[in-house]
Amino acid sequence: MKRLSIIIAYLLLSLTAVAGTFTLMALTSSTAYAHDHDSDDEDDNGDSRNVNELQPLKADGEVRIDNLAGSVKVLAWDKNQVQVTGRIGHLVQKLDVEGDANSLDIKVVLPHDVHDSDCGSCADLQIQVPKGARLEVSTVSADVEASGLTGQVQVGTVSGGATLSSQSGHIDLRTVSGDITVVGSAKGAQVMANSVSGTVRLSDVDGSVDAENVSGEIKLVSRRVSNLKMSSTSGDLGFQGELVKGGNYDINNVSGDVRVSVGSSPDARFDISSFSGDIDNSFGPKATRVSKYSPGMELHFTSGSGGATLSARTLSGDIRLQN
Amino acid sequence: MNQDKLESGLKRLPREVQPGRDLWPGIESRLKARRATQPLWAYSLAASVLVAVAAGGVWVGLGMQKTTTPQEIVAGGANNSAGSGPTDDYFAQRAAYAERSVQTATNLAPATRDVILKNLRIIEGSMQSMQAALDKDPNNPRLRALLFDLYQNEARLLAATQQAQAKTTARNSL
Repeated sequence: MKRLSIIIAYLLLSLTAVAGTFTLMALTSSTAYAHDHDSDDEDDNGDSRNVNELQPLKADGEVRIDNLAGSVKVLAWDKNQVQVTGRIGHLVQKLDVEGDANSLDIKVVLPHDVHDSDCGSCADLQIQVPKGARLEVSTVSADVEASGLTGQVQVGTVSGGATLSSQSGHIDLRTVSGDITVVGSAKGAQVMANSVSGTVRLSDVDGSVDAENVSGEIKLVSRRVSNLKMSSTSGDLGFQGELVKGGNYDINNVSGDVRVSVGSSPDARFDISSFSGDIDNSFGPKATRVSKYSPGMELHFTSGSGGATLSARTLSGDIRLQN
Repeated sequence: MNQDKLESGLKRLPREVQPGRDLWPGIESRLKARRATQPLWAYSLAASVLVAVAAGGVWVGLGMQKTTTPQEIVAGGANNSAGSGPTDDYFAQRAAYAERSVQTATNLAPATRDVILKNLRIIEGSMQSMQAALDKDPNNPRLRALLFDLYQNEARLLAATQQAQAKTTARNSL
């Protein structure tokens, strides 16, 4: 009886060992398969094709670019031509370049059953356009970078970033989650930057700025902004620069903080209020409570001759005025 | 007799009948056409409707805020009396409607939808905080201006959602 028990125990042990070995083998092979599969995805670039297209375009012609995923880099040059170079992935059906010398459409076309997320980086394009051309770029996840332009620039992405370095007089950048960076503009430009959760950074812009966000941060550094409208819901807002005589600066936030740095002796009228946040002023009077029914703090004062008007308000975000 | 004739006739019939021409290309193209995405104008219309509804929301939301005297505030305390502003139900219904419209943007990447929903909830939460503040200080014009901004932000976010949806949908329309 004892011997029988030993044999049964031995058999059970052997079966367990065999089962364990098979399980291990199955796991190993599935990991290997997953790894191979990943490699296939990475091999998307392996069958990519190079593109090189040259088309005439007037100095102030219009260029519209549509590339869902990958990247778009636009550079200005002095020729009245548009050159498209770069690489398109093997899942891309074709690159369409259509139009005439007044207007040109550049479009990366995917088959109907392929989504932008399927092909990773669908196309990486470098496009040279006349300096004064009007540019309109539309992407989903592709990053957009443009530099050297003087014509108007309009960029819309979903998750791609938008970076612009230009002397453009009309700038309009919009993203959902992509970051926005603008460096420079023409004198007296109209700059619009609108995101949902991306970080917005604007520097050395001149003229009128309208920047909006929901949860992302907005930071503006410029001494030549004459009109500013900056707002967010929960993202922090920052403005560092100088206040121009006659300028209007309007900064609104709900729960995010506001930080304004406009030198030690600005020439402006300040109207600052917060319902439940703190107000900290490093170069003027202190904020006071204005109602016994609410915790709201307000700060109204004039510095210099009051040539500009700056108003900032929040619900619960803190406001800090500093040199 | 007739029965036998019928059966023999049936037996003479071929087991398979090939169509006179290749029908598959026609079927395939019609299937593709059916699968084809909604036209751009449909999304533009949807975005316009959303903006109109949101604008209506602003009007209704701000209109529902009854002006309250300081005496009433004192009497009502911090938790102002019911009916002085939009109720929690009102905000919940707005939020549910807005979230549904984002959920139906099925062409957006799930990560993008999540970002939009997260920010939508930030806006909805801020609206409720703002309303609570207005209940305490109903005559505060700055709070009203901030609330108005929030309604606008919400409308913009929903319009951006529809535009992003249209962008991914109309990508191949030449």
